[in-house]
Amino acid sequence: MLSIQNLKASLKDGTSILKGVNLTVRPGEIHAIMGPNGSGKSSLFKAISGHPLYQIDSGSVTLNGKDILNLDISERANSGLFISMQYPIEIPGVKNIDFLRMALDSKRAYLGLEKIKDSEFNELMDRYTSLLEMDDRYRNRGVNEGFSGGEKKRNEILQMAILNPLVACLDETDSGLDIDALRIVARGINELMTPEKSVILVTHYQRLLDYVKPHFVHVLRHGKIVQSGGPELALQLEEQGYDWIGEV
Amino acid sequence: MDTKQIAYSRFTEIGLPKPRNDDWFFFPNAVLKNILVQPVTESSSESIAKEFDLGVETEKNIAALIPLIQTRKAFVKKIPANEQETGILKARDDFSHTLFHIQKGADVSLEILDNKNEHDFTAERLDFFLEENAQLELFFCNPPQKHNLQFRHIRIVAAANASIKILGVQQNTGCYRQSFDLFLNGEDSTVDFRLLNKLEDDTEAHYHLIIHHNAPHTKSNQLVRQILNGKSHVSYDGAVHVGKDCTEVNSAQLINSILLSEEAKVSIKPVLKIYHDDVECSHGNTCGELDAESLYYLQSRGIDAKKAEDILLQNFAVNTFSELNSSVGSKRILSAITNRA
Ligand SMILES: Nc1ncnc2c1ncn2[C@@H]1O[C@H](COP(=O)(O)OP(=O)(O)OP(=O)(O)O)[C@@H](O)[C@H]1O
Ligand SMILES: [Mg+2]
Repeated sequence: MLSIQNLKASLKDGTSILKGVNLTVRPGEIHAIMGPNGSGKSSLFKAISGHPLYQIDSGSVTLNGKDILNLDISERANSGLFISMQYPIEIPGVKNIDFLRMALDSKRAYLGLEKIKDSEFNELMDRYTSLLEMDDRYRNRGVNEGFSGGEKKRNEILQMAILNPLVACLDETDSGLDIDALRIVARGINELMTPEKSVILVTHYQRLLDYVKPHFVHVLRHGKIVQSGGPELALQLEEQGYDWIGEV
Repeated sequence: MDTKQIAYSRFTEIGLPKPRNDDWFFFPNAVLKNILVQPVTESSSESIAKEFDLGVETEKNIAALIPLIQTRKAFVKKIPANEQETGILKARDDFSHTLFHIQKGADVSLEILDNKNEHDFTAERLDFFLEENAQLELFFCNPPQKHNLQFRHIRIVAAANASIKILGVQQNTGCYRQSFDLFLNGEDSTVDFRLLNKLEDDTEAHYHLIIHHNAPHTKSNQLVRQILNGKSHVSYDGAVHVGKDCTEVNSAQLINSILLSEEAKVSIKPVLKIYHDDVECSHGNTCGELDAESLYYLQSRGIDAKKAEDILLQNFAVNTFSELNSSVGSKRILSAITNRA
């Protein structure tokens, strides 16, 4: 379970970005976070994952009861937190398949497990590349190197699948995906969902939520969650925008 | 007069570099104080002088003269037309001079190994004369010796359609200065120069390079990267001269440095001398630390900070030699980088 309590965070220059976020995500739950551009959605994910630009001013973040704010970035990831980036970066020269394997072996080492065997890893790769309908280019090219916007997003989901996190935070995974890709990726997310895992989706559109059905929908505005509801809230936002929601 | 004597009189004429000499600007000239330059009497390189112009009379670089003055015996080798040759160049003496005459269409790949002598001062000079369509690949990547002071001067003259490729990985050394005088004298001749410096401690590596575009349609590319730690210092003075009437010349220079410590230092001096309009020249120079977003991305996937750094450094190093056609040199260099990371 991920529990974010009264989280305040600012940029290193002092600009306050998150102004007291409260969010509790239990196993098996899917949450959607919506909100206007610049409201702090990506910042929330970056701050909880330990991005160096963000400084935590107060509040707490626990994952299965463990305080993760005093862990470094990789330890948070290895404890089960995964962020699918809004703008995944390219790391040319590091082969995607080598990267995936390194990431998985890092997690296994953290958990005290041996390196994954070739056969096991190949099986995982085969399973998830076919689930996500990805071809061999995704294995042998550099990480996101020359990938289109949509291809990068799909590659994020492949990483999620391989790393099998407890809590997956997906930042606008739907933007940039074509209609078929959206369906494929959504199917992937649904298939990877199990009762002990949870997902937080950041999205601007109902479209994704038609495929991946959230239990809760939240509105983030000016660095705070100002409204929470069920799936119907997303539909209402799609019709009416954000203006009707008052400041708190 | 033989080459040795001409070189010595030229040397006494120009003398050791004075403070503020442009070509030695970044070099710790104090280390030169104690060197003693005297012609050795045994043997000479007279036979060379008749056949090849080594440019001694007008030479401005003492590092090009000292090996001529102090070598016992020059090593001269001819590669016959259209032959293929791979080999190793290794100086046995403290001062050495080697000359290769590479005839039409010959294809030569040579690895330069460091002088194994552990002496205070060593200097070597390598001359290459490339006839039409000849290809030369020179590379070095062996762990160097700790010399107090080491000079290496490489002079290459290329005729039409000849191609020069120089690939180097320089790791810790004492104080090291390598100079290059590259003459693209024939149309469509090219040079591709790639250098990676991985230095630590208080080591110094200084490079002085001049590419002379003396013919139309000539092409040069310089890619120089360094990863510097400790108090290490790299200086790179890379000049491109484009002669009159040399149309459609293309030259590129890119220098990227990563400084891993506060005290590491890089000094760059790009010089372009162009006497013609029809020239495409580009140069760029970046200096910094590893990309923070890339580090974050790798770490967010569970890879620890140290490993993430290593991956990015390795990548930076390897990419110095990317997009090269596979060759003896490129393979050797890449395996040297990847094995030692
Ligand atoms: N590196 C940065 N430097 C300066 N300001 C930043 C930086 N990163 C984020 N911000 C600011 O923080 C605020 C929140 O940005 P954030 O990216 O979290 O918004 P978002 O809700 O994800 O928006 P979008 O829907 O457009 O993705 C914005 O005002 C943004 O300009
Ligand atoms: Mg965002």
